[in-house]
Amino acid sequence: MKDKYTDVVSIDLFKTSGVPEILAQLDLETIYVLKNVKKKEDVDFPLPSRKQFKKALLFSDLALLNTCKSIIPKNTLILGQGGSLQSNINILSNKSPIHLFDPIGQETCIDEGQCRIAHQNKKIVFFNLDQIRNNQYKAIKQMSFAIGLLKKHNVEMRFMTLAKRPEDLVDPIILQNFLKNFNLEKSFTKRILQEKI
Amino acid sequence: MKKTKLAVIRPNLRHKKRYVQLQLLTYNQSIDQKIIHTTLCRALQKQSGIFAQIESNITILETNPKTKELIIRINKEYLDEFIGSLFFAQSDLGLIKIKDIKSTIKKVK
Repeated sequence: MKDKYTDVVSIDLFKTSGVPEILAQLDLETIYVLKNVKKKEDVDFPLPSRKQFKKALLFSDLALLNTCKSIIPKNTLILGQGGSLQSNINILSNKSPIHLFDPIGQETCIDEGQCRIAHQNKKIVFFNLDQIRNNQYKAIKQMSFAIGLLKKHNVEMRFMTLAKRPEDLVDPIILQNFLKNFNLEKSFTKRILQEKI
Repeated sequence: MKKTKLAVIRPNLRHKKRYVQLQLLTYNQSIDQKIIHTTLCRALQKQSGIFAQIESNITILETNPKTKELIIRINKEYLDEFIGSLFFAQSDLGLIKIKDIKSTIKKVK
C-alpha cells in the first residue's frame, strides 16, 4: 500500500488551472488550504469539492481570533503567524487550539522557554518551506537551530510547502530526504509528514 | 598498437547503483538531457558540495519527451542526498515526482 501524506497549501494555488489533477499525482491524502484572515468575513471561503481538502486559517492578530471563534467550523486548522519573539510567545501560551506558523524571523526568536510552553500546551510548530527558497540563508540557519531545540523538548512540528503555484509543491519523498539535512531521521520525518493534524 | 582488454572490476569493489525514475509534472520546455543534467548536478552541489556531486556520478539513461519521464542512474551511497537535492532543482525543472527507485534498470522499465 502506498504511503499517504499531508500538506498545507495556499488558497492562491487554485487560481492556476489543473491543480487538483497535479495534487492527485502526489500521494497527498489530506490537503489543508490556508487563507490569511484579515477580517471576520475571510473565515468563510469556498473549497474545491473534494474530500481531501480541508480548511486552514492564518491569524496575524489574536484579538481577531477571539471574535471569529464562534463562526470557525469544526476540523479547521487554526494557525497564528509567528516570526517575532512576542508573537511566538503569545501563540504558544494561548490556551485556544491555535498553532504556531513560521517561527522564522529577522533574528532567531525561539528559545528553550518557548519550547517548554509549547510542549505543555500541546502546540504544533509549522515550518514554511517557502522560506528556504526565498530567504535561504536565514531560514536554513534558524530552522536547523529551532528543529534541534523542538525535538529535544518533544514538541510536535510539521513542514508545509504553502504552495502558491504548482511548481512550489514538493513530492513527499523528496521532502523526506531533504529533511535529513536537518539531522532528522527518516522514520521521524515520515511520521510527521504522514500524520494528520 | 595491440589492444588490451581492461580487467573487470571485482564485484565487491564496484559501486552499487540505483535507478531513479522521475517525472517532470510542470516542465513546459522540451527535454534537453544536457540542461537537465547540469541542473541536477548544480542542485546536488548546492546541497552536499562538489565532492558528493562528483562521486554520485549522475547519469541520465533515458528520457521520454511525451510523458516527460527520465531514468537516472546514481551511486547508491548518494541516493538520499540526490533525492533531497531535487528540492532545489524544482526552481528550474518545475514540480518533480519520484515514480520509482529500483536496483536494476530492468525493474524500472
